[in-house]
Amino acid sequence: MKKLILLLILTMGVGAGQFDKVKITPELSYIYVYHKGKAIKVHRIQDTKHKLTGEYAKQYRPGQDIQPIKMHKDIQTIGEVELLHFMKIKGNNKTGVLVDLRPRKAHNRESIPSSVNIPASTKDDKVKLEKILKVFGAKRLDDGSLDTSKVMQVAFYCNGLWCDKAPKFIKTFLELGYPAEKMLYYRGGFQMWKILGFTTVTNL
Amino acid sequence: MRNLLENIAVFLVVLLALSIVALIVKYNMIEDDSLEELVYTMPVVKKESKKEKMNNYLNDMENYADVDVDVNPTKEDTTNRVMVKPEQEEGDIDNAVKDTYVEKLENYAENQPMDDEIKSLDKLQNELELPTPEKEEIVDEIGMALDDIIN
Amino acid sequence: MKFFYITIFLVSTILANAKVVDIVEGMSYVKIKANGKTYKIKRTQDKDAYLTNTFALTSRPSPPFFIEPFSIHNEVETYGELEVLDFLVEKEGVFIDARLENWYAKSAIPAAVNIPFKLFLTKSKKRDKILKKLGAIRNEEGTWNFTEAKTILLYCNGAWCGQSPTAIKALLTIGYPANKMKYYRGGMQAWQLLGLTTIVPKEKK
Repeated sequence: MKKLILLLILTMGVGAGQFDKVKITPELSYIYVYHKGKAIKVHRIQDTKHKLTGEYAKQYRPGQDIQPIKMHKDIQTIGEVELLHFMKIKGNNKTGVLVDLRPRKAHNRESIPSSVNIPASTKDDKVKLEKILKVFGAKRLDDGSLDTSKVMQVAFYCNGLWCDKAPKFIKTFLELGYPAEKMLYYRGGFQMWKILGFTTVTNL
Repeated sequence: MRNLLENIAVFLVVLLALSIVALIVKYNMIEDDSLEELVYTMPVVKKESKKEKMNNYLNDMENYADVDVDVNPTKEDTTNRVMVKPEQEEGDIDNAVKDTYVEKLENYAENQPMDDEIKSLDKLQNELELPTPEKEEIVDEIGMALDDIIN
Repeated sequence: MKFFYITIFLVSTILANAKVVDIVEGMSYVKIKANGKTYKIKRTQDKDAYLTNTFALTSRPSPPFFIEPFSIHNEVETYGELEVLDFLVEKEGVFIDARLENWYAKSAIPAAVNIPFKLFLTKSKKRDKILKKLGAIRNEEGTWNFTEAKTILLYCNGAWCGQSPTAIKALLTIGYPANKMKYYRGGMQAWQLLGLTTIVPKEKK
């Protein structure tokens, strides 16, 4: 009986990722998020010998300046832990959305699970921006002003520390009237996400 | 008559005794030494004092040595990647934000020529397209809505 | 003679058109003077440069390595690369590499001084010496007065390394003012991933 109970605890521990070799935080080994209707387990690569290779391991980035840590005084910059928290709490219950600002091709090839794609070039298309605001819960009132009382919280990311797509798009959204406290800037971007070994998705 | 009553009484007593035993077993009301021992060993993660924690941390940190491996840096990294095929159909919100026919035509003319990669992705998508007989619940409204706005 | 002039012309046009990778627009390098030396920090100009050393490893074992939160304390500012460079150029304080010696010896960010985080953890003569050097003054009762304390900027290996956060948390418990501590969370990993200049510190005798 005693052995059975111990075994039960052990299996629960394994299931909860207690014995994962590579965790996220001391209490967290993985989360589940929904990506296009499918449940995805977001966790880190467990192989301690695994290195990042390919496009996102490049060091040479001509014409792409390093971005400041804070893109605007009222907009919070977040890291991976905060992003995962956002994905789990806000993303899964539809009060928040994670937006990938990279080109459609790059997004479909590989992106952060649960993210939706708005190519950065959209910031110049006023018609589309208006529709996007509507999807996020903003209401255009008769007098022309924007009612943002029920908008979703939006987390933005692009390629990484040297990519200005996210800061530029967030600034556009701010100019449109989207509340600063409802926007988050994941500065690390897809590059940091990959180099920390997190799960990615490919949209077929 | 008396015999019958006696038998019933005995039967009830036995039934009661059995049910008591069953309840005890079910709700673990008996205390025994082995159970106590289990209570003490149950927390799998030991509660350490702050000092112990820090010492363990230092030990782990000092004893850690990086393992270096040779890799081909240009090779694409496909570890920990999940392939996802969208599982829903369009809904009311998507219809509301769809491009009009004229806009679609205009966008088509402006589209960049597709390169091989996009063509192969499209081909894969078409191959995997399966008929969906029932209307499923929309789960990714936002993604679908945005997809339609952008395209 | 003509040939010479043509060569000069060609070379200069090539140089003029060569795309220099900037840190920020218009600034292709930063000159830092620290610890008696001058350093030039710039981004890699090699188009085939990839991060291939141990900083390309994705998964360090937990424990002791976990992903650190973006913010250690609401008054301890998290810095990025540009803010670090600003800090160094403006000489705003002391730039500390909080890693254990074996990490620091392999490579470090220019102008950093190595104070391994474990020196901050327990009361010791060494810690007292360091605190005094950072501008803290010992009170009669044995506590510290940090009114003249310098601003310090700490870093370690990267977002997965807890060495500098541990140092900062230890200093917070001693009473070091939170607003005088800065945390460069990206660390060696982000610094190298961006192709920024690193140095191999000379061995201490």
